[in-house]
Amino acid sequence: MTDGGAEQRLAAIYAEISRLRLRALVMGGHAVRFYGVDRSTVDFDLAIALAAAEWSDLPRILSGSPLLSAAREGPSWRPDDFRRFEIGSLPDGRPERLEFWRRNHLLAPFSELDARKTVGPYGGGTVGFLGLDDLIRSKETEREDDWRDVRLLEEIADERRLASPARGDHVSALAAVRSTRGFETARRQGILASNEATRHAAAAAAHPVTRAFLAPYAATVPIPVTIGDEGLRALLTGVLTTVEPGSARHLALVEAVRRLHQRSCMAADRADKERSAGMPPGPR
Amino acid sequence: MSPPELTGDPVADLLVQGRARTIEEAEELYLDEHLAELVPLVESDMPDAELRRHPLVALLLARGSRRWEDSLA
Repeated sequence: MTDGGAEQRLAAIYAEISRLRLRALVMGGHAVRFYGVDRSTVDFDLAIALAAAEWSDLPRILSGSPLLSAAREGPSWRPDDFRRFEIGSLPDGRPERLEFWRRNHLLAPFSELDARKTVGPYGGGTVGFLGLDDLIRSKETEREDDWRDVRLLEEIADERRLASPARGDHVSALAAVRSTRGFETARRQGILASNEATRHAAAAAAHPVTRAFLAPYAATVPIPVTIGDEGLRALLTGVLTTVEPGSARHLALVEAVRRLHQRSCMAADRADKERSAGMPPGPR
Repeated sequence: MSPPELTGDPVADLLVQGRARTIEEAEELYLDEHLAELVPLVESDMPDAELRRHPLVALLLARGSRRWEDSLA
């Protein structure tokens, strides 16, 4: 199936899900494509709003659809939250999968996701997607491939926030910067030259990588990075406030913090999977 | 059997020594094992341009978030 064909298929599935009166938002690879990352995907991943009783009844609900009536359920390591169905075969013989998340340990409840959703044209239809920041969060898993998506999506999110920030909105744009390109754009725009904006942004920033970008500008704001080895963390946060902004020293420290954050998220996701599967915690 | 001849490139040496199977694996292993060396390196009096060429810094930047100039290559 071509990428265009997969997009049309997703749009048709989304329309059918809506016709079945199920509220859902697209996540996964198709959402990544929607936001502008050119990558292939074969799975259809949906966050869905379903109460427990309806969740149990999902196979029967799908069986009422001409498009999805052949759906065959596969294994799930957390059946109360996640279900996977085979709905056909791809041209190369691999199964075509439709996956539903009722609850995802990385994401807020559906009502919050729905409030932040983006609806747009895709595959010839109109499709609802996870908001960009929620999509990035959903990708902070133990899989290296997901982190490649995170890097690119962070660039897109920064580009959008910094494209033409309204007057007074510089602080919120800065307080979310996560990519080096976003940081460079903010520098070029002169936003980082404002001591007041950088100080407020550093105080408002929640993400350790954002804090690492802003640390040299706001030495008085503590950087409560909660990741990595304690000794290394203390050294990193201490030295970050002393380096020249934008220097190789600064950017290398930012990447060290990014790396520690990624490792921390991967470990947390792995631990969650092990808990769900009833396995003892530990490296695999 | 004599030990493998090292290349002087810390990442390539991990491959030569059989500690990694691919370049990606070797780069990740190198970063994991040497990340703690970054702070003393940053605090040294090495000029910024020279520091950028240090294997640990060069690899951190290459495997991290892209700069705008990277897209022009």
